[in-house]
Amino acid sequence: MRALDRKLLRELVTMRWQLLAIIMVVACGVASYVAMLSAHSSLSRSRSSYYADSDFADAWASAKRAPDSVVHELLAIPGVARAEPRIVQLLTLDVADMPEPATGRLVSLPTPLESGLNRLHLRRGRWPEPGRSGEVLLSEPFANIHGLGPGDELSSIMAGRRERLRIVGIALSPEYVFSVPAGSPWPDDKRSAILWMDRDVLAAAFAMQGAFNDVTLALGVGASEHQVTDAIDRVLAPWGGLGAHGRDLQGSHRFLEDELTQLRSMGATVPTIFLGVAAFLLNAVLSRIVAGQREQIAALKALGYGNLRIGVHYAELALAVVACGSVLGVALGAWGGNAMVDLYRDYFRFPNLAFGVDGETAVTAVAISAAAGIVGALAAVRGAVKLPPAEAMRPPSPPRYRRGAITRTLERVLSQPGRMVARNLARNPVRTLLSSLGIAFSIAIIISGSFSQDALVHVMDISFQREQRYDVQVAFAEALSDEVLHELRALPGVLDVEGQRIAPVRLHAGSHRYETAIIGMGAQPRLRRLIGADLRPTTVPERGLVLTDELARRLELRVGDQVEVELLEGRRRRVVVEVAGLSTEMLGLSGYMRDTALRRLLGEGPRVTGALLAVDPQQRAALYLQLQTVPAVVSVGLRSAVFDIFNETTASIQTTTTVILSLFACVIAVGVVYNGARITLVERSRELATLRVIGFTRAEVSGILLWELAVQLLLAIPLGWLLGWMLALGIVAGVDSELYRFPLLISPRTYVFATGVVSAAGFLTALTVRRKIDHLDLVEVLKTRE
Amino acid sequence: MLDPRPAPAPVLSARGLTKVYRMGEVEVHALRGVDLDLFEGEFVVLLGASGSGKSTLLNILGGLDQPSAGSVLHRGHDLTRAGEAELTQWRREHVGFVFQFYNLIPSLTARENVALVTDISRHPMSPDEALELVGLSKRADHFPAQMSGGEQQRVAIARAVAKRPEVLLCDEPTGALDVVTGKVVLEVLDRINREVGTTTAIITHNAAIATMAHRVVTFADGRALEVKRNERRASAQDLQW
Repeated sequence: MRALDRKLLRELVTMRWQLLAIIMVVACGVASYVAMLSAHSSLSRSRSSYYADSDFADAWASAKRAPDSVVHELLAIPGVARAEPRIVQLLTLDVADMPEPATGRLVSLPTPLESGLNRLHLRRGRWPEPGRSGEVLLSEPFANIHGLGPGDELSSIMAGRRERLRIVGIALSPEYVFSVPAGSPWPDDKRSAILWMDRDVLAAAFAMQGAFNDVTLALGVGASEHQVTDAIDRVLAPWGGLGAHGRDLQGSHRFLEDELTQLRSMGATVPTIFLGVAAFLLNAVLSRIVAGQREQIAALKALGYGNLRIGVHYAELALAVVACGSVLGVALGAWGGNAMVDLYRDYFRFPNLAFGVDGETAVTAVAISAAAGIVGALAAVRGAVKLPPAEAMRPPSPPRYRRGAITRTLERVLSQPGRMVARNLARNPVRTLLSSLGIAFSIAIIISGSFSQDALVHVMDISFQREQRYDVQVAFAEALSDEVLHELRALPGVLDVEGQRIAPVRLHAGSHRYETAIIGMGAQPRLRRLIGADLRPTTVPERGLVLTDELARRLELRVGDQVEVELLEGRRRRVVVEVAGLSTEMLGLSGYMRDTALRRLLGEGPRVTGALLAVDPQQRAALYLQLQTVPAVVSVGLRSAVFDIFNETTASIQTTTTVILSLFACVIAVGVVYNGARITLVERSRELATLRVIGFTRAEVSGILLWELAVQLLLAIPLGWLLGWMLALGIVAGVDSELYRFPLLISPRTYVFATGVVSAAGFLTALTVRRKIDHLDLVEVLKTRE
Repeated sequence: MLDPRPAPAPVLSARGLTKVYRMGEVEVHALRGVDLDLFEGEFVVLLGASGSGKSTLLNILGGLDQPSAGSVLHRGHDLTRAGEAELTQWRREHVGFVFQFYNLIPSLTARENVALVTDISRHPMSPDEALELVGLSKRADHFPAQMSGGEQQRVAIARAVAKRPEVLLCDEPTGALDVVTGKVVLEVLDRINREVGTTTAIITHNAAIATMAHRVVTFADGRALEVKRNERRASAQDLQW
């Protein structure tokens, strides 16, 4: 080994703790990049191969009832490569281990079995025998939760008759990678099942022989999705078509896409912060080393070492740190990415979700961190190279201090040590600011990771306290006379009933159009209220349309504007309606009308498509049993279930995120504070020792160092809050606002928590450096020249 | 090797001071049994080549270092048994240090460097009074970087005497200065000794300085070889080196 390499090695060992702190920062940056992007590519790869293997459809459409011959019309649309009609029915399922009924989606199987689009992946058991009634395939997540398998039975009301459904196999479908039940923004594997059944059997049960009510389509290469879906709508309109859509509006695909987008953007943001901080720390440490080794640099030059060799020597230190950080980071990232994918396996149902770190991601991570290291080292290395040997032999001129406007003002109140603190910070404004910025980022990271809790509290309050006050929501297969409400009212435990008429519509405003539903409700609804901008319940206006505030924003509509409503049922009339009000909502985008006004629009009498029930908690079980016997009811939803799922999923994800991000933030805080304190200690050990010699106590001397840190921290706090707010804003903007809105709400508790964690980490780190001050060798220090 | 005359009580008195450093495998005997008294109002020069042990002695007297054996008594109180906190207190109240490289705090002005000490001691002079004493009243608001070496050393002296110490310990105070500036600094030390009556001990390898002392103790090889009393003290201005 050459002498210069030996020098490097010894310096690495001497500065091991400082460098370790930087290595950890680099490792966190690399790890978060590798973990998130590898998880991204693993998910994305699994999805692509799953979609390709199973011929995932490109477009979907449903109708009330269309004869099979219509398929030929669909196939004739330019751009449509394949069209596969099927029958889809909702039904309630009676599951032994759960008092409330589950909602099932019964889908017909194609013939022949293993053909067609969205091909199923049979996990266990066998396919249903063609023509044999009562045999079904069951979706794997639901089967696993309830411990169901081939040979088990489910009981259900199908078309008014109680039927026993025999499970013959367990399957996965590319359409339900993420299974989100209708009406809920979250997946609920426990209460929503997908069942597949032979088409002829299903058709016979629901009187759908020779007809279909759902179709999936594959488009040809280069087909315009927009033009095709418009054409499909025209073909299906006479058959009660409910609007065709592409993959972007397919529930499972959309959630998956959303998750992938978020992973990608987080994978870009988080590492940037870490590697930025690492570059700054490397710069600070290397500048210090170069300053302290002026004479050595001069001696090396005098001995004949060239500028390049000397520059490389110092750059090597940065690269060594980056190399260690990268190795650790890639390993940590592989571990973390695997853990993430493990977590995803609980939510995303792929037949194969294998995790792999792809080489490209790892190489990119290492390259980016090496670039950050070189950027950090650059200024310091340039300083070393530029130093003329003769000048380097002389000690540097004493640092210049000035009394700036701020310190001048502060002098009135500051003691001598206080002035030392103020002037030292003011003398290196860039370093002070960058240190504070580093600490600020660690505060911001915790805020951005924890604020969603605050936002969720708000979402829950609006949605589950103010807006939804029912216990059970039932849906009917079709619009029924509101007489059915009396029947429901008579069921055990029902305290209150409110009918709902949900009409699918397409809204047109200028160039915008949006498919949603208009919900007809009474003037003063009790169980599903409209909430105004002041967060209080409002009345439903007698005429005109109330829109979710976010929907109005998307359509660029204001109260008093006209909007064209295209009814997607019946004669598909188009009517112009005035926007009469806005409602504050966190979940979904809908329109609301007074029931009487909606009836006029639809040209029908008092009819309902569903009902909301307030239920006596004591009699729930009895009610659930009875509900399953009401033939009209095809789905039963519990408000508490949605609420619980919301709470459980978000709470567990939230806690994990907060813990991980807090740890990450501590790594930054420790890295910045430790290096800052060590550098200050080296630069000013003479000064601190002098103070000790002239009679200052250990506590007083370390107080100076701690105060410098405290001031940096104080500067960092408001900056961290601001950055945290900005990161949170970015996250909020990234949320798909059609599904749910995430208000930018950060509670004082979150600010305090983030500040507390970072301050504690900083303070504990500073205490370790304090021990060094206590052991300052006074005699040695005084002998050295400035 | 005690001063034979029954003199006023010693402020500091060292007996049998021995200091052994271990430097890796080697034992370095920095002091080999040194006895020394510093009397009130005295101006003493400790003369010796580098490595003679004089700096080690000064560090022990000032409470910066502990001897391997022997004792240091401050008015009868044993400093070698004192703990860290007591030694800090001893430096804070009774000792003034002047160093070869001044050791001023670069971020504080001349007046503030002095105030650093006056803020924590019991009966100090005002910083301006101390600066007046070293003839630097006009430079009170300057930072170290704005002053010459001689000026910086005078600020260091003002900082050392402002607490009205019993003992002023100076380690090569002119070591980093040219002759002219060095003389100015020595003049200041001399004047303070005469006017304030501070017991002053100067370490130097410069024999010329010895002529301005009451007593000169010559060091070699960790021992005090010789004590010489100057019948007539030279003034700092007359020194030549």
